[in-house]
Amino acid sequence: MDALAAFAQGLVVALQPLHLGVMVIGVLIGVIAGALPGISFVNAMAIALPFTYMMSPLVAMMFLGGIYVGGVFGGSISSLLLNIPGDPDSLPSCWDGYPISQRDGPQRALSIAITASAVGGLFSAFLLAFASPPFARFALTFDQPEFFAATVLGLVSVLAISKGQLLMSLMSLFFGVAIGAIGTDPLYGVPRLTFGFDLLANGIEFTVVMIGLFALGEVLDYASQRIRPDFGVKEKARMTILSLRDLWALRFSIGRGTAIGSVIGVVPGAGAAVGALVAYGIERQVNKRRDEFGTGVEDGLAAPEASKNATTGTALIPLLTLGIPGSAGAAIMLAALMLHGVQPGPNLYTKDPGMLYAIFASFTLANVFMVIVSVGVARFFGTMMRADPAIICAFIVIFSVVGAFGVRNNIADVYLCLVFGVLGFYMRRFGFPTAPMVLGVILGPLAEGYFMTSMANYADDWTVFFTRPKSAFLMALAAGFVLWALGPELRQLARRLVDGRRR
Amino acid sequence: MAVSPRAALGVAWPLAAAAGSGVLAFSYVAPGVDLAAMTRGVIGPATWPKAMLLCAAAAAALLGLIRLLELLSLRLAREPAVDQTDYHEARSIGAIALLVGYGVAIPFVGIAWATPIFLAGWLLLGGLRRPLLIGLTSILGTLGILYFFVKVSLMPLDRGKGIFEQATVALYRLLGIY
Repeated sequence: MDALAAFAQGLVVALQPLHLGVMVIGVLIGVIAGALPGISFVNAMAIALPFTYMMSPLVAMMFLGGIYVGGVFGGSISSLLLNIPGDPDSLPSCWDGYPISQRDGPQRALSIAITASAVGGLFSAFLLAFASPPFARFALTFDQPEFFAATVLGLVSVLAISKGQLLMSLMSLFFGVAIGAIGTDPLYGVPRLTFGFDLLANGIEFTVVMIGLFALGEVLDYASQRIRPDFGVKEKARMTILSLRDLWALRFSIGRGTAIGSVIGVVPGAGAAVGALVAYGIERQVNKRRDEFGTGVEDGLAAPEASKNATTGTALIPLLTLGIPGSAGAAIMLAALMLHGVQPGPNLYTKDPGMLYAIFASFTLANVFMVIVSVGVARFFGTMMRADPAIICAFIVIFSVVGAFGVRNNIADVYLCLVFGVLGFYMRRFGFPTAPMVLGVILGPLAEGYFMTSMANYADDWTVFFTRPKSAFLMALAAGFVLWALGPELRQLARRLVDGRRR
Repeated sequence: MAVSPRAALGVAWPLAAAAGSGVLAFSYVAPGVDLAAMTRGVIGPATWPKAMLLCAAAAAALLGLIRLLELLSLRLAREPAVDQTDYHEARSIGAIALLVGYGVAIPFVGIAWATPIFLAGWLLLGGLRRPLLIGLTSILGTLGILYFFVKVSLMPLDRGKGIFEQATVALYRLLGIY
């Protein structure tokens, strides 16, 4: 009952005109960024991050939360209208969604997608509101070693999405953590890895790294491609919410997708793309019409759509309770909180529950407004697509550069952002994953802080991470993650070695 | 066995990265600082970055060794997986040069004057050839950005130096945003 009352109070705060307006603008930006192929909503969040400086932490979270919720769905618009996923998490929507669009018209496909997404997103937002406080109460029993172990778990979780590039992901992650250590050491006051450059003495802001690697890297990648996709959609697409009868017909696929997405969202590093792919895969196994998948089966669209939006709310549970981001979008929200001096973790639930419930309520509302905003964006999608991508990319560069400058009003941050932009482009081009580096830059300083204080509090006894039960459990989970990611790679390597010897 | 340059590079760069990280870890984390005197027990200011660099070096060395093993012992000239996207090299270098040039120009000419030049250059590079579209996008885009950041967001954008600073202030006054 307390939680319900707190949620109702949060709803009152979230419905204040400023808060509602900021959230709706966020949803609009997210849906548009998600819908534009080549520009992911994560880029939009990274670019928007410096502009949250002028906002309060609550408004910043509402704004970024809106982009996150809207962006996760937005990618489906281009998937269904162009057969080009706006974001990687919208890829499964192409497989059955585009054939539906072709056969029954875009309105039908879009209506299924938005309804399933809204159901998944709303369920996930309620889970965030009502399941995270008990989790936070449990996390309150954590000491520094447990937080270190939880941060290590967050760091290695990125291996879950390493896609057969385990060693490169590890390199990227460790380099990211090392980049996070650049600057004056907070405990000893010693400048580290500065090479005598004054501009590095204050460290490298993770916002600058994020904007460079995500936004500029992607723009450079797009600008350098010889053949760029043609976004020639010319028709106006309408969508509506499905009738209750249609919704009832899709209840099992939407339910399964929602459940899968909600669970996957909590897994650090997994995110919407994994949620959508797993939901599609499972639906394809269990659905009665599994043999027809890929030809326009409505369940094949509803399940991944429900799943990817169901990851959005639950991805914030580890973020807010432990400070571990469950997805790239959640990592940017973590960055926003840290920029405002708010340390996510279980203490936040006792220190500022009002802000948290307002965020939960705003997240819930964002899923409702996502429907309204998406209807409008889908309708004008054809008009949007007439804008030359070169113009869109040019403005992304300007916003990125000005955003990087605005971090500390320092031109050095622009230079660093450009360096990371070029680095991001070449990393992308040569198959070197960028997400682990970003995660390393964000979580590295936190991990170091927890590690150093653990060492100070426990007489330099490093076994403390393995002898305290909760810490040991988290460390075992982290080791399990590594082994889980390592297993297929080792099998693949062994197969190659055997095949090579036989030649 | 003929080894393609790309396959050789696929082996060389991780090994070079491993060597570089190792050198960095041992020699450049905090040069000139008496780390031994500051270290308490096993933990000192260089412990964390050094450990991370060594972990990165280990991962890179392992990657290089696996690729070397495949390349030499097993006659599997497997090329490292790279994106199959077809890149336009000249455009790629042009885009990077334009980006770097924009960043370098900002402290000298200011954002107000560097931005329209960058926009025009980028649009030309992107294949736009209509002078009116390029001109209007560059000028109106810059004015919109200045209005949004200077007037609405109250961000102190870089105004450049000398005559450019004066010109920026004059432009701001003309636009009524200063």
